[in-house]
Amino acid sequence: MQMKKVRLDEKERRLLRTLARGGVMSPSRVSAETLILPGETLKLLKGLADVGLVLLRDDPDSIDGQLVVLTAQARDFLALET
Amino acid sequence: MSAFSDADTAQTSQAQTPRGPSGWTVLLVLLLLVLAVFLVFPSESFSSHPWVLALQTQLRTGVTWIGPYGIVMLIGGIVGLAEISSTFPNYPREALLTRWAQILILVNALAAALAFWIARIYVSPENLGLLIVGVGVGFQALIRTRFTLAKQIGGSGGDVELNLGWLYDQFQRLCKTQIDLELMQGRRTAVTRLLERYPTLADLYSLATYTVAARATLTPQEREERLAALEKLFDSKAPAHFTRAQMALNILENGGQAYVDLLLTPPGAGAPAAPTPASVAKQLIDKYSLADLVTMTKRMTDSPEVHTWVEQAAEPTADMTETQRKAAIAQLLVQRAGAEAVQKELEKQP
Repeated sequence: MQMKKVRLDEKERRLLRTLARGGVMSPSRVSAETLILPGETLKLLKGLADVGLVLLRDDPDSIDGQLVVLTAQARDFLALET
Repeated sequence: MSAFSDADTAQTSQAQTPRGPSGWTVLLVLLLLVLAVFLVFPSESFSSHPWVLALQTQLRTGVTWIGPYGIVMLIGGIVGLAEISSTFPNYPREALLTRWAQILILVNALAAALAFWIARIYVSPENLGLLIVGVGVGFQALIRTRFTLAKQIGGSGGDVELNLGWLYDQFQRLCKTQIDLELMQGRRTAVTRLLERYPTLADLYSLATYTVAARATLTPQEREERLAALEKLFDSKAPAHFTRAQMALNILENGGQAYVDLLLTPPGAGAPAAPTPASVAKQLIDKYSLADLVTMTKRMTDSPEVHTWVEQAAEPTADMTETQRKAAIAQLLVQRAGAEAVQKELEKQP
């Protein structure tokens, strides 16, 4: 698969690394683990979802009504970085 | 994961069973070995009783007569077995255990034996080996073949054909439908039980990705395709309950029935389960107001950075609901103070 060229800032990388460790998470948990404020976390995650690096979906069982997970593209991206 | 430790319990209890299907297989193999030894070695070497000599002679005659039929039936059975396992690649073991799969294998074996019996009447048994292979393989190919005797120029469909495979096609289709129906019942039960045991989408997605990743026989391309299918499923706009059911079915298709049974093994009796971070955070959200959560977090943690974060996280913003802000603070408190400490604090409150 051809990977899109994306430029990420440090906070976005931190979010991706946290998701790589945590698997499927609620945005509030990502926020708590990265110490990025909840509003900003959600905004960053939506931006990452738009470029295909994370999947963000509604889930009534999640503590804040949403779930987020890394895509294969994001895993490849992280693998290239390390 | 607890399901994996439960597997050990299941294996132990299986090992304690006095004689399972494997026990009978060992017994059968031993019996066949004894029979082979008895037939191969001259009976004078271990017994001089006349009835032993007579039995050995009769058995040798019987085996010489029945052996070719056994080989031809075995070839027919293997062909039937291969047809079923390739038709149901996700559930080969389960498909083979259904009644209609056994009927298909048996019909293949018996039809091959019948063909061999007819061939033996009309063909001289000078080269028996060639006859066995010819009938064993040739008959299987013949009943699945469609011969075109004359083909119309231009190919508008008026060919003269002799379709020997038509009857077998109908029978095969019947078997396939019946096997699928039998499997469907088991699939539905397995999916329902998976959903009961792993009720959240997060659990099911993690399990489904692990199942694909753990499959040793998948090529990298197949693995990538299956993971992409899972991502597509997760990303769908379908309601969560539908996605959960699809995810459970995906686990069953990728892992098979035996793997799902392993996942569903009941947890062994032991110490009561410790509170999970998610359950403790949920209790915090239900029990405390936003302001109380901020106070509690400041009391139970001592990092100035965390205190500042909590104060800022509690401030109202346009795109965040109060529950979302409470969720973030509750998760942080559980992460920093530990689920057990927070649970104790929760129990202190009336």
